[in-house]
Amino acid sequence: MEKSRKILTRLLLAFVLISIGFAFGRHSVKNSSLPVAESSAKGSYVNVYYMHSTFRCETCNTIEAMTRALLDKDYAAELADGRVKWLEVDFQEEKLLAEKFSVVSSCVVVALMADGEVVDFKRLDEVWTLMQKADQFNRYISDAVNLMLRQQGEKT
Amino acid sequence: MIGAAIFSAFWFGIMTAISPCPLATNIAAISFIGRKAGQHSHVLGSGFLYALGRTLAYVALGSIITLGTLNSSEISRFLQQYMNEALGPTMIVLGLVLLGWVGSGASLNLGTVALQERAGRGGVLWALPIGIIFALSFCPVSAGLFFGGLLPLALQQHSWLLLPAAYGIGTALPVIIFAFIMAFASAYLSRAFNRLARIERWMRYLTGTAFILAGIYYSITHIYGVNI
Repeated sequence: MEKSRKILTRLLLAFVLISIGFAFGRHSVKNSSLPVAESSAKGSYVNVYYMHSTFRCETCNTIEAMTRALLDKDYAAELADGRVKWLEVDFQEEKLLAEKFSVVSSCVVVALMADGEVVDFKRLDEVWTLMQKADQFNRYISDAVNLMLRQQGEKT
Repeated sequence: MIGAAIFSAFWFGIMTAISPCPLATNIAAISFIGRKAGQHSHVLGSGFLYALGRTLAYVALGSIITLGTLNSSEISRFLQQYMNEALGPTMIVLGLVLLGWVGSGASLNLGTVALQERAGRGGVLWALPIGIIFALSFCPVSAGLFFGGLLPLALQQHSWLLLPAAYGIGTALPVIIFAFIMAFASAYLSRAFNRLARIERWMRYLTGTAFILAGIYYSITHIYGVNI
């Protein structure tokens, strides 16, 4: 009993040390190769980003599914002709984009784009407090998408 | 108006606590608070200090951000990245200390004899730093509701103390209620069957094991990036 307790303790402590080393190693690799954040598409269009952390939670997946379902239902034509684009982004990987949008947690960001550059954006943090109220959630997202589409229409 | 804002902050806290994402730390906290089933003062004291730890962390963070000392989005991303990575190994070591398996051993001088004795006695004061560490280990739900929901409300109401405190109490309350129910129910049963000492020993094993399992879960999901 005493021997197996010691073996288990050492195994767990070894796991701790390996994990710490792995975490340090991962960050040193990541920091030296930051990915490019923005797309290179031409023209004016609206990007709807679902920004999430590397760790995906159930509630985050629900927010993503609700947003995607709304776009598929109400913005099918815009998605088809490329006026609206859907992007799923890990903000812990895409650090430049996370800084640009001042992301605090998983959220939806609606951005007006011109030739691959962000012209204007709205970060929708209230998805967390509205997700229990589907109507208000959908209106909140739609208002932001419609605002950016109006601006996009004025530009083209 | 401030009353409604305090209730909203408290409700955000409850929503955070009952969401699935902090489940692993909540289970560890419940077992930690309720582990001295036979000592009501210990359970109550641990519960109070755990809530105080969480509240202090959120008030300090809220104050620093609302006073403009630190950028809200940067600190949120920093804590989500690094606190969760540090949490896994920390919880495994804490679990081993709670089991009394490390702390005084000659092979690994991670602490002193006094540390292990305090762990063995189950020092009630441990609940305070555990509350602080768990509060600062933001998962997507707690980060979304604290940084995206509570802080804008606190800024709007110019309340850097009351609203973060209400949020902190909200995040701790469901945990404390479950811990009290578990502790007092097991104390009642163990007295009925005259097995209090044995129940307390098993509760200590349960707490240590809960910390180790939660630590392994956090390491796998946040360090190795495996979504379970």
